Amino acid sequence: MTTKKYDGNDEKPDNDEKPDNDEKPKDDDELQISKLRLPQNFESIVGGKKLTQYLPVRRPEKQWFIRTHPNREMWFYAAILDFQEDRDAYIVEEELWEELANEVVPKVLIPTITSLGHSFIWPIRVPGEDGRIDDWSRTAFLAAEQACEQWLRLRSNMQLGSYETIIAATMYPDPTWPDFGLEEWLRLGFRDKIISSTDHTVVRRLRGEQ
Amino acid sequence: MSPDRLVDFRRIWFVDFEYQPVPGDLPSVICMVAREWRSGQTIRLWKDQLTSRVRPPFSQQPDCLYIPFFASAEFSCHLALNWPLPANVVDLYVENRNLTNGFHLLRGNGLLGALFHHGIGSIEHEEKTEMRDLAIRGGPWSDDERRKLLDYCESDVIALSKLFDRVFPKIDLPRALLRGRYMKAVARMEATGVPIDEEMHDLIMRNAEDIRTNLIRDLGAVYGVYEQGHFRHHLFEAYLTKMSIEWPRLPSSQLDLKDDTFSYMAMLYLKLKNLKILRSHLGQLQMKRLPLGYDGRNRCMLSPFASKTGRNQPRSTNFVFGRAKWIRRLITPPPGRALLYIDYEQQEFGIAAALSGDSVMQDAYNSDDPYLSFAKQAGAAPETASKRTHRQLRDIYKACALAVQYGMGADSLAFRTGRKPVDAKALLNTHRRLYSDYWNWSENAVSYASLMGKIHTAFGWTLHVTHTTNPRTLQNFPMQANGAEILRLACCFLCEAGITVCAPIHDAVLVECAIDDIAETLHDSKLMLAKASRIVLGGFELRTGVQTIEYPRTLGGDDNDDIWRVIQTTVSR
Repeated sequence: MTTKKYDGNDEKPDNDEKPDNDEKPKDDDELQISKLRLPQNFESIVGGKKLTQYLPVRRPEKQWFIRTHPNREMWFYAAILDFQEDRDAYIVEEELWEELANEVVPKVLIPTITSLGHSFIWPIRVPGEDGRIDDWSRTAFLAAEQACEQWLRLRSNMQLGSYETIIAATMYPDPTWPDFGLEEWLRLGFRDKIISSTDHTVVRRLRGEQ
Repeated sequence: MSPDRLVDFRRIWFVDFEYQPVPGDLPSVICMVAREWRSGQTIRLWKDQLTSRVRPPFSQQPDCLYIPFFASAEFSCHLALNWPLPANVVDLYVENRNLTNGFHLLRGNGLLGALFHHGIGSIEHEEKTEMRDLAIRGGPWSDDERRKLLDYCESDVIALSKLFDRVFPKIDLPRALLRGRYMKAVARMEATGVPIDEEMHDLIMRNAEDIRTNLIRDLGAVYGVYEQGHFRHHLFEAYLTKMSIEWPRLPSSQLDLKDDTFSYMAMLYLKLKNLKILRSHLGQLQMKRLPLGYDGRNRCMLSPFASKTGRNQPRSTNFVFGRAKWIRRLITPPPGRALLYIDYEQQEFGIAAALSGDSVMQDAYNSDDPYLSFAKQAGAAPETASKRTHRQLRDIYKACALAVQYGMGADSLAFRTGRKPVDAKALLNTHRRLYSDYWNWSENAVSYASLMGKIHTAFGWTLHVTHTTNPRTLQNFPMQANGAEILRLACCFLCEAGITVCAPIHDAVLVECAIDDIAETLHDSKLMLAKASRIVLGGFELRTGVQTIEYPRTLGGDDNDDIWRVIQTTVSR
């Protein structure tokens, strides 16, 4: 690289050109600059989709406004064993129903979502072979049916021994349901809680085995 | 169309000026050195050789590139010399800021700091200070001093070329040129300045003590907490006891007199509002004069790209819009002229709605009043509600909308709105429920930043993430930093169209024109601001509002009428 010094009075540098025209706005400016725009949709860049790894199986808190899944094919009827020791619910497979008849209760497992977008599985007892059902379960089921269409919350009425429903006074937008099917709902809710043999720890514990 | 690859530029010039800063005015130029990147051709010119020229001694055409360090300073020299500005600029100060934004640079963001950061040896700090002092001292300079100053100027240019060699591979050239383009607008705005009622400014400064006394007498008397011009803690304690006001205390049991606490308490107890205003404004009277130029205009360095979000960060003491709001009453157009204060309405809410693609939020923004719409969407206000009928409710929902963007929790929101934490939590939950797409997008933005170690705007202004980065900063970055992008583009369009911009102010511009041209200037300016928002937000347009002031009116204050009345009465005596 050669260095050539210029002191103002000798050689004229390369400015013997037309006047500068930098300041004039250009007609296609909007288009040209827009081409440089970088995406601001970080989800598509990082693939940052919320991953559901677990779904609680529980009844809704009394303050929660909820909606139940409007597709009734997503409501799963199952025999449930409520293991008091660890307060967990287990799905019992059909071939064990007779053997565990005294331990299981028929329940419907309903995909449910709160107004804040948190999903869970709501188990509600349904009538057994005798067709009888308690008022708590009956009113809970009615509320679940109503929650297919409306945001509501449940409140216990101890005097009546049943639930009462409170419909949201505001028109909330419909919920955005997780985009997976019933099988995934059940997998996420009952990952290690399916009893398919009498060797299952819970069954053995109920028998008084270690 | 300018090249977007370095190889396509015919000439690449590194340029540096030495100058004497003149507070409130354009600088007094001392010398300049320019060096061409490929050929090494070096041009050294002293003051008299510069002032005799009508343009720089090198090409500034669209096929050439101009590389300075802190371009607005070099361009202020261009403007002082009546030289045109170059077509293409890559400012190494700005690009180094962009490459290191979020990191702590051991030796700062100046040229020496940048060189040190990139492992390039340079002159010592002491030597630079000595040369700077020599320039600031002013002439006449001896031949030896002239040579030293030119050598020093040339050493900066050589350092600049070394820095360029090191950082260029990391520079995103097309967007760097866009940032360089803004630096030209900055130079123009700094040179224009904000017209000030100089006489009134002088009167206020000369009578600061009397104003202070009268403010305390007229507005502070009812409180009885000032004694000999000073706020007395024991008198304030007595006042609080008399009024049965439970005031927050520090762990030391002293009264908590922080500004935030005063604001909160003034919200709970309206009678304290004037005391709060009085306290903050008495402080402003102790400040030094605004730097005013020969023509009574407030000019100062706008410090572009100084904040993490890329916003300008002028020193608040030097910038009229950095001072207390009542000082804006000093802003007045010259005879025959008008000022247009044009701002983006609810800019951050609009940006959040646009970038997240949340249609419910966009509906709210596109209504007349986004914050009231939020309340309506939440079912808290009837469809017929207006700002007039539901002002308080609107304020609460506004605070909530802003709190979300700043990542504020329920407790902080409760503090700001004077509501119970449980209510504040419910408000935040309502926001989360209504604007779920926004929340997903915002959480993804934070995840992206954490995963990639940085986050960027639509035009590449980048914040690097370190272990000390506050997640709330990341959450708010897209709104603030894209807001800065929008304003930068708007300033470019306005200045390039020949519209006189006195200053950029966060989400607004102060434009000046002849009274006869108000309608045309306003129309053109609003179109340009809208265009800037469309470009940054991918087609979504932000609304603008305007306050027009014709000579001899002044830019209005809002709730500072009492203060201003006392000031006027005092100085008119």
